[in-house]
Amino acid sequence: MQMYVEAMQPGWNLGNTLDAIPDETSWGNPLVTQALIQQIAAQGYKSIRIPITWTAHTGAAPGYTIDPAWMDRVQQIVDWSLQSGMYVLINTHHDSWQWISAMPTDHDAVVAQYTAVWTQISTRFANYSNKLMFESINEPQFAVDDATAMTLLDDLNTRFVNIVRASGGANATRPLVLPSLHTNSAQNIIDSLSATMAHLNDPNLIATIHYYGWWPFSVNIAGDTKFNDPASIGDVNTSFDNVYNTFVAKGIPVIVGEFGVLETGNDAVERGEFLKYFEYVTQYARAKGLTHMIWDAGQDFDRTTFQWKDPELFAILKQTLTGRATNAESDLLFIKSGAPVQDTGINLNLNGNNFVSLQDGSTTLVAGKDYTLNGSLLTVKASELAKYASGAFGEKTVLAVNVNSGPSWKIHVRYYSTPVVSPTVGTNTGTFAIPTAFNGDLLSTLEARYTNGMDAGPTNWTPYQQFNYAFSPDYAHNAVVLANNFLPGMPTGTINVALHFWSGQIVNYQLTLQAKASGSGSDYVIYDDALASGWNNWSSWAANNLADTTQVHAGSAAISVTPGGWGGFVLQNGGPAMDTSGYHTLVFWINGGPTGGQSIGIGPIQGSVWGPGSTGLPALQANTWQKVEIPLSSLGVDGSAGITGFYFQNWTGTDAPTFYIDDIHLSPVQSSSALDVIGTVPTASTLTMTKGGFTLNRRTNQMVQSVTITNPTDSAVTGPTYLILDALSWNTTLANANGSTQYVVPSASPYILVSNGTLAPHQSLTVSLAFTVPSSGGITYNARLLSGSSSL
Amino acid sequence: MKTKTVLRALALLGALAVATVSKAQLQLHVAVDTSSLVGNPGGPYSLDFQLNDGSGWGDSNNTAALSNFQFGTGTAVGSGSTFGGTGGDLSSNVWLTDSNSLLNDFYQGFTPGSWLSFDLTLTTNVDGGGTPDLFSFAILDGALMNLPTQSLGSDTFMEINLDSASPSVATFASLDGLITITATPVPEASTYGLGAAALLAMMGLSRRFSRRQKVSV
Repeated sequence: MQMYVEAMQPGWNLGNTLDAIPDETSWGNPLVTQALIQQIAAQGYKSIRIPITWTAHTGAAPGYTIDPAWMDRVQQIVDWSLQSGMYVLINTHHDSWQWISAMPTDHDAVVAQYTAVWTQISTRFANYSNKLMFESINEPQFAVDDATAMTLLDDLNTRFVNIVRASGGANATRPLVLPSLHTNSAQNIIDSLSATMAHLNDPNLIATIHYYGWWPFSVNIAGDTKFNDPASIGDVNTSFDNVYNTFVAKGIPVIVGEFGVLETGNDAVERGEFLKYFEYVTQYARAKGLTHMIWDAGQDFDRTTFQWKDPELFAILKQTLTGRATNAESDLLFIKSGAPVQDTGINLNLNGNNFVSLQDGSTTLVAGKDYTLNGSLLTVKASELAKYASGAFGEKTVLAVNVNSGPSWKIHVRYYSTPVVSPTVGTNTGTFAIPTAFNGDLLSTLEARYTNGMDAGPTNWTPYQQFNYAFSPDYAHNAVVLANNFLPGMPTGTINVALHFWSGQIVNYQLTLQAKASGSGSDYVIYDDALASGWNNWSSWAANNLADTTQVHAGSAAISVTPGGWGGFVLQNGGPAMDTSGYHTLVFWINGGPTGGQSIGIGPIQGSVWGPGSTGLPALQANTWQKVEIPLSSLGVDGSAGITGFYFQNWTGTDAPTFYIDDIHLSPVQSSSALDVIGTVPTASTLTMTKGGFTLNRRTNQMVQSVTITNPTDSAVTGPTYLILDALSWNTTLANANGSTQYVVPSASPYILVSNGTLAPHQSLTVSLAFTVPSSGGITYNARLLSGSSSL
Repeated sequence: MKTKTVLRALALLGALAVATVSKAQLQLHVAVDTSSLVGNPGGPYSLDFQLNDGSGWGDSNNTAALSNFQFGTGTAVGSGSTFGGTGGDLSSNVWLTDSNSLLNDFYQGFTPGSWLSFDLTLTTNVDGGGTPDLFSFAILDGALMNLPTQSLGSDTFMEINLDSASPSVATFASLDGLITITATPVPEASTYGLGAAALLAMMGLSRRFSRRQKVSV
């Protein structure tokens, strides 16, 4: 079987197509054509995985009959694929979470449906050649602990094999693909699959996993911006080594049925790091005898023009089928405005290829004059770069490192100046834009900590928040935007924000969150046992009772609402127009009734306009009254004079059990959760820093460097004082520090507590940094000092 | 003619200035008390010299020339081991240049006498980028590990950060204080000669210029 699977290399996924819910085009891809399938084969792909979600095309129990038209369509695409010469893999795809995941609580029904579905599929394709494979399930998941889930998966995979094998024709020996739990490659997970395969004792089984990279790198969180050792590269090695040792080395082939990065099509994973990741993953998979199948949900191969949307990526993937592709420590080279243009080095990863030339556009540069190559160190001469050190900021040219085999590595030369941030004010109830002149630089990550050291932002275990989830650069509008999940819920205080850029520049910013000045006066009552004068019930949207006495918070009655899917309860002021500008908070009480668990969203109405904002409540508690205070700013209507109504909507597509609302008011008092946010540019540290050179200490086998920090002023500088090593070169780590250092964090972005105390006027402290010895190249980093209130 | 003479004078002044810049260097006579190493079982010992690049990416803009090694009753042993831009032998001369971006290292065994000395000539060109080139000197023990010194983590006896045309020289005793080092500046004879030649030339030009002015009056 190993030869069978290696003949499938490489593979391609017809993603977001027959797996889309409910239909083939529901997720934006066009109908599959025979020409598309032929084009995929023509691109060199030897196998195709056709993910199929059967749920919406399966009838009711007990027959669970698959819609014949759907089965015919599946068969048509399978036929086209086989006719094109490719190996073909079909499965049950999103069925995994749609109904198979109910196995722990509804075992027999799930098994009955699963058996019926696979019996029908097996029967339809019983006489197909063995180039057609069946995969039992995509990414199995059961919402129980792993041990229980693995037992359930063993049950499911065993049933799957037995169903297919008993269904006649070529199914007796058809290659069958069995996934691990979550298609994960952790050793304990694949050991469980290995045990399943052992007791099945079937020679035609194939194991499958999926690989989407070291998660922090794949989504850009925790400062994992580079595809580096040990984390991201080590994770590839560990994952593929695990499945090689557990399966391939024991005669069971493995398909990496899906691979990619989790954040794709945006700036979260920097372009060069993205390409290095794909190069490494595919070449290492091949080296371990694993067949990889890229996950293409439509983002890679244009299904209309039949062109690769990213031909550079495709060229790299193609090269790794026979060797390795060349890349470098970076694909970015920055020239700083106002600084002397210098010779600039980039370490190449030639990966066994030979350097041929360096090209600038259509011009082949001259070795010795325009650049030098010393081992793997490519140094671009200042004379070559100087011509780009003027004019508009941004990308000025692309240098191509040409090699004897495979695609060139592109180095994007950017002219930049240190980005500049500006003060602004806002609230914590939505997004918050930090005005930022990028000046040709590119945002790498964002670091946020309160002055007491607490991480700030939606992720509480790292100060380096998730790109495109917690924040994102808006280059067109000159802003770094904190998402609407960043500031809500954050306590008052000062947050130090550090914007990290790919040039290595760090730009500091401060956000001060403080309570709003509170208003005064009386509440405006909307409902209190009955609707206030002028207010109407517009709730044909949901069954309701404005005089319900079943559950009452105060007084004699409350509102009961029983909405259908997406249904809602609407209150509208049809009376004389009232000025609502003096109110800041919507206050009411809500009760989930006997059942609870409802997902309710609240929004305002202004005349004929619904919105502009809305907010969701946590799942309602059963038989419990909860007070809700919603800042009108979070609904986008704080200060609005024309609020004419509110709606309470069921935010699910299914019927919701009855819930209760009482004592609906508008309050002039600011909600305690509504904060003003003041963005300022912190004063730069007055401390200065002098770096020494590097020396190798053979006793410790470390490269040692001294750094002296001085207070040049006539005033004391309040501690603590930190030295932060940003953008530390990939080839080393901070191993230790001596001297006056009090605390060292030897991690990916290390910082050192130089001193807890005050630095007296003109006082100097010297720390000694010790780095692991790089295998090549020099050690580089950008040093940053923080002191006093601007500290970490 | 008068114009040409003035231009020549200016050219000579310019040449002198250029010569001064390109010849920016430091000359030291270094003496080390190695008496505590005589017969010490920690040997055999080696002298270790490094000239490592700062922000220059191996730009070879500095060189170190070591000569006139004296070992007292001791002697140089074997041949030198090199990494990066280094070469030579303790029995004659050793040179280093910062051509490798990470490490330029020379070490060679020696039998200690009660003292050792050598002369160092070091160019002092400054790298842009904030991290200077560094010249360092250490003594390695029989396991080729630095003898501990009172330096800050580097275990060197001498460090010279090339952060200015006239860099400061830092010396450190061994951790136990038994090995001490002195580094004494040596006047640069060639600089005196160049300066004197330039002065004489200027005086000659001045006299000729002066005479011709008189003639023309």
